Amino acid sequence: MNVRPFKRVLIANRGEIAVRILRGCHERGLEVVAVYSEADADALHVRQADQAVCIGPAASSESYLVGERILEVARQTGADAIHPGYGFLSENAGFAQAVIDAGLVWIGPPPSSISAMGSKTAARQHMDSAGVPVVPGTLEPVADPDEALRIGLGIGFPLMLKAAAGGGGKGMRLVHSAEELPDALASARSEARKSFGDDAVYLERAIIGPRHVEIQVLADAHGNVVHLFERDCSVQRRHQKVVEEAPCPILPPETRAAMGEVAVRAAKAVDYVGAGTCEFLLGADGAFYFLEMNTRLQVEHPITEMITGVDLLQAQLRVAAGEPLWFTQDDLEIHGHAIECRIYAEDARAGFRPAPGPLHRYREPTGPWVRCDSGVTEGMAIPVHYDPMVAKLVVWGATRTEAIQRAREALRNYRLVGTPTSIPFFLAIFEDADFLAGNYTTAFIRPEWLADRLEPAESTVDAALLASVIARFEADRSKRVEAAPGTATSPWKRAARWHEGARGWA
Amino acid sequence: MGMIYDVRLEGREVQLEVEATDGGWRVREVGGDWRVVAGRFAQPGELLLVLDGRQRAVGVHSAGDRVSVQADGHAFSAEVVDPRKVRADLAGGAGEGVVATPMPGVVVRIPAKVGQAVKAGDVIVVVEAMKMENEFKAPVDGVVASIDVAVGQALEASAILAHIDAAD
Repeated sequence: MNVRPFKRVLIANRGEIAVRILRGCHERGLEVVAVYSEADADALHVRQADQAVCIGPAASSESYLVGERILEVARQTGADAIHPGYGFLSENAGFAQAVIDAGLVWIGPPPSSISAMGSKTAARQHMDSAGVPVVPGTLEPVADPDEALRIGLGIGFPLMLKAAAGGGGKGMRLVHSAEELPDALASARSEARKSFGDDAVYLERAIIGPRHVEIQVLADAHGNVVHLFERDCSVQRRHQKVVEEAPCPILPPETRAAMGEVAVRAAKAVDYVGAGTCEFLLGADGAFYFLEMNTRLQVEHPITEMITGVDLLQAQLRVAAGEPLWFTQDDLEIHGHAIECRIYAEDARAGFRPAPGPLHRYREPTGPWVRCDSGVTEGMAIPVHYDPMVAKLVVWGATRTEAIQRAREALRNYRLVGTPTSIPFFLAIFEDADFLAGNYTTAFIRPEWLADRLEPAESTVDAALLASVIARFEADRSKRVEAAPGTATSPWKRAARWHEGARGWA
Repeated sequence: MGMIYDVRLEGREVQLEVEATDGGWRVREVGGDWRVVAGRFAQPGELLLVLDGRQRAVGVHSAGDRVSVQADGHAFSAEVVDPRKVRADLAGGAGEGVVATPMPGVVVRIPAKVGQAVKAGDVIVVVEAMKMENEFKAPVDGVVASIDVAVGQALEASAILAHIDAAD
């Protein structure tokens, strides 16, 4: 087993998660080696690391994704463990194996677990044989309308026809009854052929109005596996999670227990070690289906930490060092309610177009049970080469209402000048009656919803207009004062002070 | 002393006059009534305004003709232009030592070279903007310390074109 104590961790990642991992390692008395691309030379985790090595130009493909370079740096710096964070190489079984073969500790699950869950079809088969409920359907394409009907009746309506070679919603048809099936099949086939050159279509039960609910699991290398309850991640835009909460506001305790048990079974079926997440679709009828397993620490892990009191990053480090879990399932309890908002540098009114830009003014909200995980400070710019995440704002409250109130106030106090962000979008969500009632699905963020809610109020625009002209007025006033005749300064000083003005006093 | 600016924000265009007062400022649209705006800077970049009896904290950052603002969580990008300076800047009068353009454009010619001794009024960079060629001149006597743009480059407003080391 690839678990044993280590003392120097190389963080193969960047941004907020690299800072999170760095803090956790230092808290545990471990040294940290940071690797960074040229765009991240002044990044927060780089500044705080014990050693930092540049691994390439800005493009991820030439830096954070170059496993051999990362291993080379590990060798040079004497790192004896690698934490891959999320994204990048975290679910690359080949890289995980290379780390292990190089004699380092891989702070993550065994490469075989990563592979087992990496392929959708393999994962479904695995889960199926472990008795884990998957979205009922076929993995083989249907040969003809007769077979489709026979299988469809077996699966149950409504059905989703999906192109085997497909994606992006093409070659998909929702079929409500047997009568609709033949035409829908012909049309799905034709679209699939045109879009992908392959008209193979398979069937799945259509889960109407699903919620995306995932279960956090934690396993040590001694066979102990527990779940740390669920996270509801249904609030998504462009199929990306933006607001997550724990616990799920509408989950009955029996369903929670059932889903947790299934997640533990799934983890055991692939000999999982470390922190992982099983994603499920939760139907309106209360039935749940395994979608996939993420074999890494997830972006939204903080909300689970807030309701359980378990530091998941520390847990990863301890498990990787060979320690057994220090608690059992019975020791775990849900306490209060936590919500996370992913603060992205993007323009919600322009289709959430990424808007990487400078953080001329930046001050995170703080206060009791207000947590902000970020990798940025004032004066930095969000680089254009990576995802435009600024920070994760996480709040806890004794009740869901308290958590929402805390989230609102924290968002209002989040000072960020220089680029648009998703802050107004979240403020709108936390005013929405359906969200406040916990009544939402993955279809929550609809274009019509957006159009109304994101316009700033008249009084806000008025304030902005006044503030902009006052700010300019004051900036000019200070320049005029400095340029007053009779000031005996050298031309160097004068030029330098003008530069200060150009960078924007006020 | 009052100043007048052309302000563009959120699709609105308005000309405003601003004066400092005891306790803040007053602002009016040209030809309109003065509106008293009580307030102050709590720190650089953090403007406290009292509007309709309520205090509001607004984040601001002013750089050239652009002011970035954050109010009630919303980000705004305002263009705030001194109409008198546009013409002056065409003569390169943006300030000692710095040659800057007040409007977006494309660099078409760079007659000067780094290290070249120049006199105030010598053309350093030529930018095509508003369908005209605009010559940007050295604001002071000195030596060209840097040329910060290249021929063919598309520029934003307030782009720095060159730096002149002023002679004593």
